[in-house]
Amino acid sequence: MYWFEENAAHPVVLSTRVRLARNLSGTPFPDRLTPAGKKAVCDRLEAVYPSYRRSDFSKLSPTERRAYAECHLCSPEFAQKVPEGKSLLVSEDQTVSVMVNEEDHVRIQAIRGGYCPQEAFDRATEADSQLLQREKPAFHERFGFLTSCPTNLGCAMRLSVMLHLPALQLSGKMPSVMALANQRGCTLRGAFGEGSKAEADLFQLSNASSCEGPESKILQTLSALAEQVIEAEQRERDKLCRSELISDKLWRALGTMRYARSVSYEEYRQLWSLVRMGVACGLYTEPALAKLDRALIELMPARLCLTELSAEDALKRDRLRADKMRSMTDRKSVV
Amino acid sequence: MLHQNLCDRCHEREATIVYRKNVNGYETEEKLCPICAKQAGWMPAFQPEDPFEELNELFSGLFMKDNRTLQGASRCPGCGLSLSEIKAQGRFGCENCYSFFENRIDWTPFTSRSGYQGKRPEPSAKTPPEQETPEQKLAGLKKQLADAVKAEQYEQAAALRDQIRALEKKDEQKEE
Repeated sequence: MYWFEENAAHPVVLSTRVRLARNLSGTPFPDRLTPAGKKAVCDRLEAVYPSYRRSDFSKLSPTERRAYAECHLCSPEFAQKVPEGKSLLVSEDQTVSVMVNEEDHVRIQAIRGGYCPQEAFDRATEADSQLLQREKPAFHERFGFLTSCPTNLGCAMRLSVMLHLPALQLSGKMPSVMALANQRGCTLRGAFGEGSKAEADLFQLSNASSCEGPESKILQTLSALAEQVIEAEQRERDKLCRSELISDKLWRALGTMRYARSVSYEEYRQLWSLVRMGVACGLYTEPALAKLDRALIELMPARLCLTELSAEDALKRDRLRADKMRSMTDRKSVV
Repeated sequence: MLHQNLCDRCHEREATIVYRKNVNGYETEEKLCPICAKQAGWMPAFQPEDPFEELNELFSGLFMKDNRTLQGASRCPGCGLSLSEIKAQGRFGCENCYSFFENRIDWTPFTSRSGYQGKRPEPSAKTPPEQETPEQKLAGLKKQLADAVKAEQYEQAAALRDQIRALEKKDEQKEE
């Protein structure tokens, strides 16, 4: 089950993920590998994870690759750049994915719905042990695990929590929250799309450096900060919901979601964010949080194209998105 | 971010000699590599014993053709990247780059002051390098160097030579 299908229904956190970067000892990093060398790395990794489903990225269409990035099973860069010699391995339960030949030979990622740093860390560690049992990693006593980019050195772990922060965004408090994150050695940036612009008010909070190591310390620091941000968001939501102007905005968003006949991805993201906030604040009960979280990913352009052939055309896709959006609001009388 | 102590003249080799001149009270300072120092006709009053002099000579003959003396020594033996290429891309080419360029890079932004304290892979059945004493490691490297010269693998030989130098430097610092 994918993370967005888990019915985690956390009011602020959509997902928690842990990513580990590893390289195989005795083999140049992917940037310096020939196509045959990359293929050999793919084969070795496949042998490490025999039960994982392997997708050869050079054989996938751009839409299929993008769909993987949309559900956060791989990075957008991994999906966009030259696909030759890259493959993605996904565990049977779909919680662990392994990117082969991204910037490093191996990027292990464990992702779970809701807020669960420890659980995600345990899953990633399990997959890591599986790798270390069979392959000798590139490791240095002084630097830790060696990575292609020196900013990832050390335990080469990144813990990220995806947060929905519409209230902090509406009240203009994001810059100060971002400054606080920086102070604590963490970064807070938009979870989807490029740059710092946050689509659907979704932000990714992650540790900035892993050079010192102790994974437990990263877990601790980031969890403490994440909990603080969650609290701040909820306080702000309580305040904003009492404002007539904001509650009107939230109700109107629900209205559009119920009755629109065509909706672009951009508009959908805005509606989604407001409706999710409305539900989390208790203004209305439908659609449930779990349903919304699932629909966020499922109505993204590439995912939609894959599930419905007719969605290849942008206009048809907008209509289809609106159909699905309306059915989510669960009013059988309105179709 | 990356620090290079390069020769003021060739800008390629590591500067090991500081040349100070005092003319009528004006002091000038030039940092030079042994080869440029020699070419400049300047010989130190006290020439420290250089165990690699022969090897250096060999290299200068080999690589003089393209006017890039000792090119092999400035490239990682594992992947062939030079420090300036790594600097430009912001990425290393292989695991060997880290030990090869270890002494020529300022690691402050990438390492912690208290040292690495995270997870370590379990030691494999092969002898892990950390169990070797520095003397053993030095002896091993010297042997590898001799083999490499014999096999005419000069790029590798140059890399080994640099590693030996770095180790010896460390030992000297410890003794001091």
